[in-house]
Amino acid sequence: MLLSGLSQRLQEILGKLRGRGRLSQADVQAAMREIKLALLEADVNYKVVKDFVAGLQEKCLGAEILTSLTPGQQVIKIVRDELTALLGGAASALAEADRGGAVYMLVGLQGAGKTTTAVKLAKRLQAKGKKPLVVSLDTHRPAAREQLAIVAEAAGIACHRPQGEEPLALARQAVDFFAQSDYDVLFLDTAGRMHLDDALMEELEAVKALVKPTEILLVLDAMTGQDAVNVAEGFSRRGLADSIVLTKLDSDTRGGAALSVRAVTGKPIKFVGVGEKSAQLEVFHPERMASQILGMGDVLTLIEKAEAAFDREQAMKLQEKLRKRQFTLEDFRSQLQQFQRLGSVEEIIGMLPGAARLGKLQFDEKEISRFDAIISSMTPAERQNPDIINGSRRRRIARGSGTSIQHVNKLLKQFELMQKLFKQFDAKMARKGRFNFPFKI
Amino acid sequence: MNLIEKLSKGLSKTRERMAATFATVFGGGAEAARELELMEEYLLLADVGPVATAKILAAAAENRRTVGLLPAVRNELLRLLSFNVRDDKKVKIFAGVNGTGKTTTVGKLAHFFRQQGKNVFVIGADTFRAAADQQLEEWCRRTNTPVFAGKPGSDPASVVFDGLHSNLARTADYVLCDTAGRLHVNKNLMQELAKLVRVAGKACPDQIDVFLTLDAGTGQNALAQVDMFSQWVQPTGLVLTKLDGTAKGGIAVALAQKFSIPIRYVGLGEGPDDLVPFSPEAYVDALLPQVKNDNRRH
Repeated sequence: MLLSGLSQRLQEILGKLRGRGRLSQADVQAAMREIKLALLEADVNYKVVKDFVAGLQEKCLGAEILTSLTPGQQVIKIVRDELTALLGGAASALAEADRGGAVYMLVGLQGAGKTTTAVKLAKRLQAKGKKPLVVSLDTHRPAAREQLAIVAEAAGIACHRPQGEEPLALARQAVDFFAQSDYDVLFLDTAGRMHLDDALMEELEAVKALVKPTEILLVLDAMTGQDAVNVAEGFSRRGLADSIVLTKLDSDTRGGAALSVRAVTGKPIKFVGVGEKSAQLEVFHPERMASQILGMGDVLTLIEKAEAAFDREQAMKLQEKLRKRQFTLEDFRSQLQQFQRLGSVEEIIGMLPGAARLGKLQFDEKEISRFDAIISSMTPAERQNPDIINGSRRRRIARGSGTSIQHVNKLLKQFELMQKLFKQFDAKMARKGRFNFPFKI
Repeated sequence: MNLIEKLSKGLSKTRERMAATFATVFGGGAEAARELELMEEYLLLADVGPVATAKILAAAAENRRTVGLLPAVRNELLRLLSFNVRDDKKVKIFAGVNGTGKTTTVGKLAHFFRQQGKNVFVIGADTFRAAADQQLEEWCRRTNTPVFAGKPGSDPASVVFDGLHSNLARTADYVLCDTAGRLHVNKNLMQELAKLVRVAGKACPDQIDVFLTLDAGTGQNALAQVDMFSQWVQPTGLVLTKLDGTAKGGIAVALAQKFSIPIRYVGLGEGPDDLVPFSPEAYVDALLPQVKNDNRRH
């Protein structure tokens, strides 16, 4: 779950302030100490933490806060605003080419996830109607070029493989091929390198001078510690990082690197990698991330993803059914299928407000295909009205779907729970009246 | 180049900057509080983490009066990092999150053992990542080590099973087993790893080491990584990779403080020789600032 560690910690700290009528200077100072520790544990760079907390404390000790009726809320608002500012205002897209095809270079340390990210980005642009091409310039690591070719093929992305063992020569062939082809976006994957390695950094500068990339993306492991800022500075000082992609954010990292890198280099974070599948790349939204860190949930991302994955018409029908309490197993199955398109269940739960407080939820993805099999083994009548499923029907369904009676029972139980959940969710949303979902989960 | 030189070279770049500040403060007899603050900052910037840093400074406080802060901290770090390494097992399984350097470590360690005249056999059980088998085969070709790499998409536990039952495994002094990178929060993949280790344990009872590879640049998340991996498999050692950058790998101290799983090897680059057994002295001397002045306080 994205950054839930930090968000949980901050929620605990801020929760103590939330209900308080008046805050003393000592209260604020104690909270600031806690925030400082939480940020350090989240791997936010020491120097960034120092500045951040100093600024925060100054704002929070302002007369306005101390005399406010709900000082706790005020502090939370300030923390959120400051976090958003630190993460860098609004989301930004990839730079567009002035003319001709766009060329993007991916650079970074070894093992950051450049190859995977190259294909994810290509896939993303392909979905938007572009014709991307990927080329690996990694002559360094054994079988790196094979890796890109295989991953690209699996994702349905074109991969060109120039001959040779010299990155600059490969780059020249790549841009020549690209210029004469009808591809309109080129992604150049490069070998991993330490930012201190002068020889390899100069090689990268030479490639840059040759291909004149539209944008250079620095790929950074989100689990990196204090060194993240050194790396980002090392690349950006040489003009080898225009923007940043954070990878492996599907771990439980508290993601302090994200906070630090942006603050120190001023380079925007544009995308985040959240899984090994080629679709698991998301646009980075600073304001949403700030809300999420504070446990306000990432409802906007959820809605966006849902809109992309869900069939609107089907959703409207479903909404109607839910209102009339006609939600059947058939609907449950089609929901599950749409759900799978949305991403992993954990990912989705992570975006819901207050998810951090739920703790770690584990969900077996195989369960969904098992459920699918079980529902397929039911008669239409059973799907419409699960109440008629008695013991002998359960045995038949279990046999038919290759599962056990326990599995069938579990499904029916979950279905029942889901129906209950919908009722609550529906009522909650109606009460708030803020979120007008085009669908109901 | 010996180990200490290698480590020092790797870590020297950032250390030089810090050392200049330290020389003035420690040598000049600055205020004790300022000295403590600087040391705290230094440890935090090295990824030692707030919890371990606080404990180290508290433990060092006792000896500080007699020997000075820097030597006191040095002693405390040495105490934390001196492990009792149990006997070396024949089969070593390498596990860890994605991109920490498992395959490279296997390649380098095979070379390391070959240099000592040992018979080494390598099993490639990363059947998930594209071209992982080719990467490993290339490493083994360079170091002239026999290798059995599983087909992409096949069950990694069965690859290990077949590999360990081969003649090459029986006659080898060491069997090194590469596995796919996996995030510690992915329950299904952790189950897969647990099964792999279980199967290996059945094939070669009491001969299994599980080594976790950790990127020296990793922050406090490494604590979560080791914690979760420990719940599924019992790691018998850690390998700290990529210590040749600006990352100081201070997370090793936090890990030692919390888990006391011995650090066995350190990775210092991409060449076959860039792997050395872990030495607490070399590591601590490279981690801490070097001060030429006499640190003794009165």
